[in-house]
Amino acid sequence: MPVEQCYHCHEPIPKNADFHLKSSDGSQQVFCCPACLAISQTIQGAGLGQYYRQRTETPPIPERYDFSIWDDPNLQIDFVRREENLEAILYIEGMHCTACAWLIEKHLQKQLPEASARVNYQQQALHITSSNNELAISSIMSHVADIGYTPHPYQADNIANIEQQQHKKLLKRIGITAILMMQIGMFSIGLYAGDFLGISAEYQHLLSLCSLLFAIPLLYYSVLPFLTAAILKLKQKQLSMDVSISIAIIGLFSSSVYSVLNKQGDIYFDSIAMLCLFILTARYIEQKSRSSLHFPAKTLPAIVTKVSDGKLTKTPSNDISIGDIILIKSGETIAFDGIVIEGSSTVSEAFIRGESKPLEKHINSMVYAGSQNHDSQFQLKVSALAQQSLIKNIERLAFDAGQNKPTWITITDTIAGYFTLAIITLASATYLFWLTQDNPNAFWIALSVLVVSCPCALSLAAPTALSAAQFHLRKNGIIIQSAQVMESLNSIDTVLFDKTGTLTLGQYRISQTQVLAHSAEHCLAIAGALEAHSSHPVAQAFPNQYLNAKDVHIINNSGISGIVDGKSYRIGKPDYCKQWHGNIAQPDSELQWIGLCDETQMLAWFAIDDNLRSDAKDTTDWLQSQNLSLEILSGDSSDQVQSIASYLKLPFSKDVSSEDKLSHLKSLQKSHHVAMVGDGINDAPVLSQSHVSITFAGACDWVKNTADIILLNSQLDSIKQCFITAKRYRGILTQNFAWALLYNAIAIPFAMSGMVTPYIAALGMSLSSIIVVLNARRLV
Amino acid sequence: MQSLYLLIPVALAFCILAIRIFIWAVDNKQFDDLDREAQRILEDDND
Repeated sequence: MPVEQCYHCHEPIPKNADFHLKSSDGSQQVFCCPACLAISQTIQGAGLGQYYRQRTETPPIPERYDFSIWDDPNLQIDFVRREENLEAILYIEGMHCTACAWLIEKHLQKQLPEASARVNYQQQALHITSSNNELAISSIMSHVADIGYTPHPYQADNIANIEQQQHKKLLKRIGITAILMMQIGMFSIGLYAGDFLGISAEYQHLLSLCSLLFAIPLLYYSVLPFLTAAILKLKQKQLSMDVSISIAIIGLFSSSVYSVLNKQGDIYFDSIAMLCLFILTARYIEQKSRSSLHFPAKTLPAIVTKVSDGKLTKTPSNDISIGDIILIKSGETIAFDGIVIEGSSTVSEAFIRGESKPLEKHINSMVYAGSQNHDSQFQLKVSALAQQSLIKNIERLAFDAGQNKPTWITITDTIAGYFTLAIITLASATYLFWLTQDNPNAFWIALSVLVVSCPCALSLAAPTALSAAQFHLRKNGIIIQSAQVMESLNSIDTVLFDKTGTLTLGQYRISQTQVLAHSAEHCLAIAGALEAHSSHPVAQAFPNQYLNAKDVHIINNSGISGIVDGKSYRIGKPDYCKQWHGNIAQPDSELQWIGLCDETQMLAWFAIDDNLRSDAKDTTDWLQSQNLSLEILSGDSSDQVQSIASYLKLPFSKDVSSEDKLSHLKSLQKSHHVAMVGDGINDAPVLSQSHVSITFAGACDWVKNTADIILLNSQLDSIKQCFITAKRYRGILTQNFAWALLYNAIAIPFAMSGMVTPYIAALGMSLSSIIVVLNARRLV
Repeated sequence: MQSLYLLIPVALAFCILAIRIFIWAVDNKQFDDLDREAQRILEDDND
């Protein structure tokens, strides 16, 4: 029997769930939760069941809000217009394929017959127009929510907006160029036919004058942007393909005008038009493909429930400041980064980590904006505003990494510049050569050379491959912080691992307890009270219980002292306890022991254990199979390091201080390229010294800011993904460069020999750059 | 061939018209979403 999955969302059915629906054809449909059942009932009850056959992706897990706050006219300024009709734009979260768009449109049509609903799938936006001016926005929103999507007021984000504008501009240029090209082409056919069949001088002149007439708007709409771009480049004392294209077009145009006025010679208006059309089309394809590589930004809730003096008020997110307390209900998306101060729940951080397994959150746990609350409600003290939240930082990081070009991309730009210079020289030489040979076509042959050469394939090759690789990794929960990394990963031959939190989960638990005095419960309670004040990962092992500690002192690398119930206690490494009790017997050293003592005697020993990541063995085996040498460098002194190392079959050094790690790394770097995987603050100098540094989402901010790669999904085996993608990236890059060189090496000699007319040259050049862009997309 | 003196202005007029319509269509968001509109034709409207 196949595993049962929810008819609506395709999640597996929980054990004790019992939600059924009888469909119209009598078959039984099973659901995972009442929300999915209700949504499916709404959809099928409205006769829209074909959605389930049409869709190609599964819908989001539903979430509900109270939308009535959006009925306040003051909040509607940005996205609602009420004039003769009501017009509103909503951003719809959770649309996955066009069947979703269909479902929303049809559902609204049935629910609100007086309104017309159109979904723009690319903008993920719903446009509503209604003759009923009094229609409440909240009712539209709740209709959308009824079928499982989350509506938000539409706020066009700036990047998408600018891109949309650019697309439109380019599209207009392409359209106008195409229409003019067809018209000029008609005249050219007349002229060519005339060449063969005979044509009177009067009509020949008329037709060429008309071509000129149509070429003037072409010059303005299609050519001028090339010229301005070329002039801008020249002002920066640089050369680009716009420069060679501009020279070619100006040359063709002025010689054609000269021919028209002199009533003899060739005219090339049709070639100019085709040239522009091909280049513009290639650019349009490139632009479209680039903008489809943006990772969609997460929309944070625009309204939150604020708790002040025990009262709950709905407040727009913009009015929240740091330190405010907000209530997060079950099922809601969390709007702010913050610390849980009351209640507990499980929270899915799928958007940050790429993994949807919910995490438990208790008092004092940190939760992040953009993650989804599951079970129950809790109160949150806001610690960062929306723009400073982790998720927005991640989005910014990903965006910045796309913006800063690695040095070698700048180098290819420079090469493309020299390439252009070489081509201009070559074209002039070609012209002079054919002139000495008395070839009447010398002029257009030279211009063909200018057009056919394709520096754009060179300058497009690297950036497109890079953004495709980045997009691919981001999809898998990996962020590349410096573009350089994709290249340097390929030269890595040594990988160093930290132990705690890297090879192990960094989640300590007590594996053995030896009680020397009092009861085990009492010792644990004292330990818990003391450890509650520490942020060291070991402290997690001790549950915080009913006792409280006062006068707590934390001694780094040793332990904690404090007063519980009026008595002084110490907890920490054996050495720390020995300061009070001299040479006490410590249990055998296979395990990592923590001692608890008061001023008179030892109370208990706790053995602390940290589980190995389940994917650690897999990952290290794989890396070794790739001929990388691995090593564990741990600051930990326990024998656990040894047992992990022998299980993973890796060399190791334990009890290594940060300074020693750094000097070890530096000596390795004399002959090796080293990548470092770590997450602790003590690893920060080592991470920044290594050639490639890899860290986890849970690492502290400083480490995250300096690391080259952040594994947001906190899976160690994502490292594999990084190496594989880097390899494929290099492969694609080599292919692209090889193609660009091959194309130019073949096309340029052909053009110089006079076998390529200008518009064929333009076609070849555009196709060449499209090939480069499409090849890079294979990385996604 | 005199007809050219009539036909070329007619062609010019059509050309201008075509460009006007095209610009209107782009500004009117006709080209904004090519994914959704491509699917619309495939949906059976049995209501």
